[in-house]
Amino acid sequence: MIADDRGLVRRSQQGDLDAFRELMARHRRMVFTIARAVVLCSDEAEDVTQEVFLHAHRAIGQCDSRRAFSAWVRAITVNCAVSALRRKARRSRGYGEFLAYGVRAAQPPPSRQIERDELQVRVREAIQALPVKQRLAISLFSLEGMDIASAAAALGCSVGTLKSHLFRAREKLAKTLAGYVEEAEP
Amino acid sequence: MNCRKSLALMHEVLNGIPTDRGELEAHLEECTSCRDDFARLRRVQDLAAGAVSPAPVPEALLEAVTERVLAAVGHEGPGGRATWYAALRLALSAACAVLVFALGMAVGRQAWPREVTVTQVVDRPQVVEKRVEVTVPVPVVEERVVVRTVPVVRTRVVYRDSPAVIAAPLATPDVAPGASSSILLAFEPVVSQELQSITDVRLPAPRETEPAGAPPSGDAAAHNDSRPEMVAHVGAGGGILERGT
Repeated sequence: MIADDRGLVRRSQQGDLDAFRELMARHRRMVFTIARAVVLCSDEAEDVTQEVFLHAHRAIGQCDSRRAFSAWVRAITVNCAVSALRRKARRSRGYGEFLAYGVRAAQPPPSRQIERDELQVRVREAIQALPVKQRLAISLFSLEGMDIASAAAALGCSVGTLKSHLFRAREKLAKTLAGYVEEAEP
Repeated sequence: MNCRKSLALMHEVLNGIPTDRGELEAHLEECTSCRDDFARLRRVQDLAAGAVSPAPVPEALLEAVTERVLAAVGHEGPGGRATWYAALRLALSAACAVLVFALGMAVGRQAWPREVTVTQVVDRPQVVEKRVEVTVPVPVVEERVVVRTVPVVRTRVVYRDSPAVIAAPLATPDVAPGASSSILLAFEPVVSQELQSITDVRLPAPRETEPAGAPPSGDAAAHNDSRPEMVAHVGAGGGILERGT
């Protein structure tokens, strides 16, 4: 018989590590995907995923087993990922401004020969240069399977607020990546 | 439809919100600028999706993370660090509560009167409480109760001759006027400090005349010709009840 998340949460609260392992197995991919969407780096996303489940285990007693474990752990993921972003920003303060300036002003001219990987690097840099809330909004909403209501819930804001962040994020990205966007048009 | 409304509808479409696209498409057919904007926004959305989900997540990586987490939490036990975190927070909260209480007591002791004098005139022997309205047909004696030290402020007026006040003297005072002695008495209706040590029973000279009809009773009745001045020292936790005329 396959236990549901609620039963696994209750067993985990009683110290059952096998139950917690099963919870991790069910939700770790979602956690990693969200973390990577926020920090835009697989290595950091791996660290965030580990931190999320360590935190979840420590706080499992506070998890209401009547509610969805996925929503609870998703909120933890966003918090941990944002914290990782802030730690990174503190470490590289000054570089971020340089990076943002580089994205805006020192972009190389677009070329039809730009490799796909390089394009992704430019897009990530442009997303990283967004204000945090806009960055989170566009990153989470752009995840596969994440609709606007789920993204809003993960960010702990209303759908209307998320729409506003998305609007501004798209407009800024369209300007920042103007060369690449126009390049791709037929 | 104007271009502003068109832009809002473009974002609604990109947000995955069900929208009547007929009106938008009709506008895009005739407005080149909006058509270009929509194409750019869709391209931006596609690029963002590609950037945030660049590659499938390797299962081996996730399994390795799982093992590391389980190894770590296995050492911590159920609840992990939260258990001693909670204990630490509880201890800190308790320490703060004690500190606040101690500060409150210190401030309160300063603010609380160390000595309260209540003067009432009673018509007959009885135990009365502070602020009790007493009719005074025949003033018989003026009692003064001095209460010292908090937290218990006793403001009863105690009549020296009343057996209801000195309910069960455990030792009969055998003191001469002006002398001092010690006596252990039980007051009622004191609850937690029924036994109180009465010291310094001084018997000064009579000051006023006992009214006719006042019921002499009890051991104190032996001293009806005098006005005893009693100082009662209450034990720990209570106040010092001092009585005198």
